[in-house]
Amino acid sequence: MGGAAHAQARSETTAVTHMLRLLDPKAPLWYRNISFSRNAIGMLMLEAFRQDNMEMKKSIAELFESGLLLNIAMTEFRDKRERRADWLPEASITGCQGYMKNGGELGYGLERCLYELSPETPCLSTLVLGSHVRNISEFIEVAEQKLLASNGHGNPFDRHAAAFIATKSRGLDKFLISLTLYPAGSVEHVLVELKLFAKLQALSHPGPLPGFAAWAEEMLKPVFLKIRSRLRREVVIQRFREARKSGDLGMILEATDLERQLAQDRREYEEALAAAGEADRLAIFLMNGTDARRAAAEGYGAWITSVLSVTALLASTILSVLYFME
Amino acid sequence: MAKQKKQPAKMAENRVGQGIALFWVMVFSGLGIVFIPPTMLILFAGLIPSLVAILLNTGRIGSIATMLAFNLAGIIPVIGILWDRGQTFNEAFRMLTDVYMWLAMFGGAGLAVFLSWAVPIVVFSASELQAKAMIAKLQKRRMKLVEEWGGQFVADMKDGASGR
Repeated sequence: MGGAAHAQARSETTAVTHMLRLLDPKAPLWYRNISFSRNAIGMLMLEAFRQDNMEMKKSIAELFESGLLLNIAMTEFRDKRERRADWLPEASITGCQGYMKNGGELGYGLERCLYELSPETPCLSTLVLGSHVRNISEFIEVAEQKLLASNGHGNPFDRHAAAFIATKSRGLDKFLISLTLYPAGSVEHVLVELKLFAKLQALSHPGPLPGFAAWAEEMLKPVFLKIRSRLRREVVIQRFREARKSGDLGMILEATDLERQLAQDRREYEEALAAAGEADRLAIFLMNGTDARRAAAEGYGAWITSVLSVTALLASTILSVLYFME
Repeated sequence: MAKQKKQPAKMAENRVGQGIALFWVMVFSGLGIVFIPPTMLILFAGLIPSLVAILLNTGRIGSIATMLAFNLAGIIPVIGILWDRGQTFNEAFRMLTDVYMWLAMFGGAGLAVFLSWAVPIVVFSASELQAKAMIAKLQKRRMKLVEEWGGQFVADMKDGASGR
C-alpha cells in the first residue's frame, strides 16, 4: 500500500518535471526540491555533500536511479542535436546510473557519481577532509600522516575514500567487485581492503607507509583472532610484526599469507576435532571395557595354563624315562 | 539363530568325545588292574584331586584337563620310583605312607589349581595396566589439542558428540 503510494507520488513528481521542461525548454531542470542547469549536476552534488543536505542528495539519487535524467537528456538530444553541448556527456549519465545500482557498496553510489561528474572535487573522506586531496598520491600522503599521528586509528576507506580511489585510479575494479561479495568486517573484506591499499602503495607511493602499517595492524587484530591454533596465531603475529617494520603493505600480506593460513587452520581444526572425537570414543570404550577384558583374560589365562600343563606333563614324562631307564 | 543351532551339536559332539575317552580309560584301568596292580594303586591314589575335580563338574573342560595333566606330571616320577624299586604292593603301600610322595602327586594338582586361579588374574592385570596407560595417553593427547585450539574447541567437540 505504502509502496504503491510512493510510486504514484514519484510518477507525479516525474510528470511535473517533464511538464516544466516542456513549458520552458531552456529553463533549468526542476525535480522536487532541486533545480539545476543541465551540465551542473556535478556542482549540485558537491553542494549537497558540502551542506550534508540529505533531501538534496536523495533527490539527486532518485534522478539517476529512476533514469529520469538520462530520459530527459535522450529526449532533448533527439529533438535538437545542438543541445548536447548543454548536457553532461551521455556516457557519464549512463555510468552514474550504473553506479547507483550498487549504491550500497563501497566505491559506488552517489559519492562515485560526485567524483566522476566533477573531477576537480577534493576527496571528502573524513580522514583527509580539509587537505584538498585531488589525486591518489596526495590521498596516500595525507592519510599516512593522519594514520601515523593516530597510531593506525582511522578509516582510510570510507564511502568517500572508496569512491575517490575508484574514480582516480584505474584497474582497481576487481577489488571493488570483490568487496561487494563479502560483508563488511569479514576476514575476506579486510583482506581485499588491504590488498587494494597494497596495490595503491605499489602504484602511487612505493616508499614505506608506517601509518598504514599501523592501520593494517588494527584491521588485522580480529583476523588474527580467527586463527584458532595458538601456535599458528603466534607465528603469524610474529611474521606480521617483522613485516610491519618495512611499512610495506604488500610485504605484510605476503609474509602473513593469511588466506592460506586461515584455510589451513580451518582444515587442521576439523582434523583435530575428528582426532579428539576418535580419542574420546576410544577412551570411553576402554573405560567401559573392564568386563570384556576380564572375560578375555579368563580365556587367555586358561590357554596359558593349558600350555603350561602339557609342557609340565611332557617334561615330567621325558625326565622320568631318562632318569629311571638308566 | 545359527549359533543356537550349533550349541546342541557341539554338546553332542563333546558327549561322544567324553564317551570315547571314558571307554579308553576303562580299558586302560582294567588292563592295569590285571597286569600292574601296584602301579594302578599309586595312580588312583595320586589322581584323587583330578577325580574330585571331575566329580565336582565345574563345566570347565580346560581346567579339568589342566588339573589332570599337572596331576599326572606329579604322579609319573612316583611311578618311576615304584618301578625302580620292583613294583610290589608292599613297596606301593610303603610309598603311600611317605608324605613326600603325596606331596609330589598332590603338588602337581595344587600347582594346577594355583595356575588356573593366578594366570587369568595376571593377564587381566596386565591388560588393565595397558588399557589405563592407553587412556592416560589419549587424555594427554586431548589436553594438548585443547591447549592448542582453545576453549571453543571443547564446545565444538561437545556439539559434535551430541550431534552424533
